Amino acid sequence: MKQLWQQRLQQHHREMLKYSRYVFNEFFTLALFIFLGALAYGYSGLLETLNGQLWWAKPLMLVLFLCLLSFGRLATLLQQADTLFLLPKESALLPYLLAARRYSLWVPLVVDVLFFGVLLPFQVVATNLSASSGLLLCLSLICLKDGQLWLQLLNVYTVSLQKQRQRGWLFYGLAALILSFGLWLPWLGLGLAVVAVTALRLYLPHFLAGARFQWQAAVNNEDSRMLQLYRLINLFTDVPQVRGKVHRRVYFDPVLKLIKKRQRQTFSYLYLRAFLRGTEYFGLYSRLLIVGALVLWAIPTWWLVLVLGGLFLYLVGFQLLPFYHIFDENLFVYLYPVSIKQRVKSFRQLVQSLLLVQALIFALVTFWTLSLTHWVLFIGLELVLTWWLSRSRFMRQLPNR
Amino acid sequence: MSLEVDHLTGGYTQIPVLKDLTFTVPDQTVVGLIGLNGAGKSTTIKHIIGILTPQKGQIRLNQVTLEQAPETYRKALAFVPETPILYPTLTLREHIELTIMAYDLDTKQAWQKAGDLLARFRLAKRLDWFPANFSKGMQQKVMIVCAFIVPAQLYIIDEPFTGLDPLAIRDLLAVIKQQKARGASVLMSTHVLATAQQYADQFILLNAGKIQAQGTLTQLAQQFNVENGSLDQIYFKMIGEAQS
Repeated sequence: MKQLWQQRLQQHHREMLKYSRYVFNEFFTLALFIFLGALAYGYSGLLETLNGQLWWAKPLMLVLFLCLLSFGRLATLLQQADTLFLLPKESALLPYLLAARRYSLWVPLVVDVLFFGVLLPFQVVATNLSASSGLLLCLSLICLKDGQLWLQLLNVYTVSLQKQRQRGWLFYGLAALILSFGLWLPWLGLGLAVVAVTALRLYLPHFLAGARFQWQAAVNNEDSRMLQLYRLINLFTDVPQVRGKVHRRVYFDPVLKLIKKRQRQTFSYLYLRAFLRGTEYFGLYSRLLIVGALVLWAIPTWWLVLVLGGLFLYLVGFQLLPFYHIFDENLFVYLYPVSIKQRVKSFRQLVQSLLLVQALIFALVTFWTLSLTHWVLFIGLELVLTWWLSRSRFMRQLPNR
Repeated sequence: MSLEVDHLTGGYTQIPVLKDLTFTVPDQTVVGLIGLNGAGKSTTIKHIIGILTPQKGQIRLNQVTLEQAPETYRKALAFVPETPILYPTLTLREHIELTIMAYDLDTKQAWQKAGDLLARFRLAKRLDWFPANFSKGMQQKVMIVCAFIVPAQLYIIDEPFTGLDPLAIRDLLAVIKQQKARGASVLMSTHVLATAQQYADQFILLNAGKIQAQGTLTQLAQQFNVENGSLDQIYFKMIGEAQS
């Protein structure tokens, strides 16, 4: 089983390496450096304005510690098929899980150390704690993380969901208490953390004796953990595992009613529902819409607003184009007695309406920041662009039959 | 004649899977398409529903080919796939509504028919659920309901008997009977020979992309010299002959 773990880990690393090449492309790395530089500059500026100890510094640190503690879960790298193929190996699974738990500590460890490195200047300026106290706090936090991973290991052997939840609350309560002590007397905090985790560690065999491994729950946990990771990667490149989830979104039903139930509206009916209830394109559209609205609202130069408004319209429309193919894998789309011409037309109408909604929201936002003449100019440009993009520019990318 | 397949040669690449198939599905007839895995049943069906184009030969449905009148051809056809194909973003009600729209059916009549079918297949309470989350058998029932609200001339059912519970199989056979009485015909591919023998009027035995034999059970029994034989026996004899 140890060998299996090594194998899985290699597989996982290979996969992550593959994706990291896409995520950390030159453009993104550059942007990241600039962003981090700006952040560091801002942080150092902020530190200079602080003078003397602040009453809220320690409570803030406590909250940050607890948030940090929730980062990083037990990575078992189990797969759905394991519930079938590894079933006969159930009793031999513990060494595998122990190896997995040990591995799961690495990422939080690195993140915690980095975090404390960043926090240290603030801590020294705003509290009475010295740099060495920071080190002790960091150690206590890592110790608690270790304990939390033991608890998560215990959870995959626990049937009762209620018990798991109780343990979770107990853990966070205790962690908050220990870290509070640590912010007051760092040595005491570390001591308490070590005692607590050692106690848990000693009691663990007692809990595990006779407990059954919860296959389905463990595999589901791992799936949801990987899905989070894939979602993050999916912001940069396409990940096949992230199949869009579907939400009913009842509040859009009035919008859906706008489509008349006629044969030539067949694809409008399909496209609109797929758009409003899916996550992928809906998320893309709403994110760009919000970012665009904020940017336009924040920019004081009128001609820049005009240029960026147009750019955002083009960008959103362009991102929507692959949505045309969303039903390509559904055989029935080809069987309907509805022509491709109708399908293209329906899609065009969808893009047009979405761009129109965007233009209107942009117009609403800029109404408060632009002078009336400039605003009229802006709305005119947005409307003309919407018309041109959806009627002509984007149609070239779609099948023309 | 509901369906006429005339010297059909076709497949996915230059190398044909189907070699010179000729058969018909007359009106008011249930035809069973029988063959081993990989014999070419699904490929035949894909050509008939028009997602593959014949390399040679013609397929006519109600006397028209897909090229001549695509919309008429498609309207005369309804299809139940082997693996359910559903829209993840549509509820069951919306799947039915969509079918009504796409085939330009009369809403009231179609919903009446849908109501009957939904009750028959015990789906009436699930109208506002997403069928994409149903079990496989229930998804198959959804496909059946959506296919049979279309008043088609030819229903094509790919492997209807696996995955359905015994009640659903009985109900499906009853629905097929109703449609037959109305004048429609059915082409179904299956491995379940005992059921096929009972409910199909004619059979097409496919082997390695060729038609080995076709006709009614009596005709086939004569051809293979199996007196009072079951479809099973005829089929095994045919495979034996083909291999020797």
